[in-house]
Amino acid sequence: MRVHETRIMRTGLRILGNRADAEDVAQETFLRLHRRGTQFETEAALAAWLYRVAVNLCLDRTRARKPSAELRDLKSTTISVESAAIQQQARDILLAALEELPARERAAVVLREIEGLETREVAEILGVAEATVRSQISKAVSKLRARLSREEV
Amino acid sequence: MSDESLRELFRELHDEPVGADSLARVRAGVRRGIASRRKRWFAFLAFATAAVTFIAAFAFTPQQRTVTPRPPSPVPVTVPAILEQPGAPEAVRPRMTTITRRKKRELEKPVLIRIETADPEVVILLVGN
Repeated sequence: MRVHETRIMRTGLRILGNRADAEDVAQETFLRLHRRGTQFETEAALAAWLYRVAVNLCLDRTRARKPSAELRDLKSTTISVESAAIQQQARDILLAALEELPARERAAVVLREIEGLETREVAEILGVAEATVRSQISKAVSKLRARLSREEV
Repeated sequence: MSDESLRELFRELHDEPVGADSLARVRAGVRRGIASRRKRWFAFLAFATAAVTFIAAFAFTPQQRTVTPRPPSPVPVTVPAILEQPGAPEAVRPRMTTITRRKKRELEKPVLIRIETADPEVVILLVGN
């Protein structure tokens, strides 16, 4: 279960960009798992279910709130610190760029590129066609690359 | 920015450890949520049990008959002391006497009273209804 905890927490953190919200989402996801009560046939089925619930909760939250203060801080202060290591800076820019993506594109990138799921699994979790996921990821990656190039990392 | 460096950044984000304190908070929150859910469930169960017990007790207890006030029993009429016969006072109960046809007939017969005098030849006869 610890593996799933880390995955769900990380996914929430990357989609929402806010630790407190990510903790809330992870907590709610595992409470729902407890309420569900039934066993899953495979570990993969459990993972997919957890991802689906967590991503839906994240999308609900992004719809309901403004951009997180945590990431706004990152944009305004952390990135401007020139003495920071280049890799660290690139990472921060990437996080800020992720925050600027539309929620569904962000979720697709997080699941596919950061969590390393298959396109089919991402499509299942998001409830869209594989082609849609591919298109969302392609658009999102282009935006991220453009942003990172603009910042000259 | 090359694809490779972007992938490298994604990998870094993936490998970045999630804070142990965050995971601990999540676990504590889940435990709290489960405990509160159990508490709610037990409260509901207790309420439901109490309700069922109350309904069952109400349904299966033999109901007491409603006591309708009886009309006051007739006060026994006693013979006034002046007319009282020696002995225990007896309550006079009204009696319903049915007059049969035979009795009626008897009643219809004229009453004949025969008074004999000292003279055997003279007999006084009184006839009445």
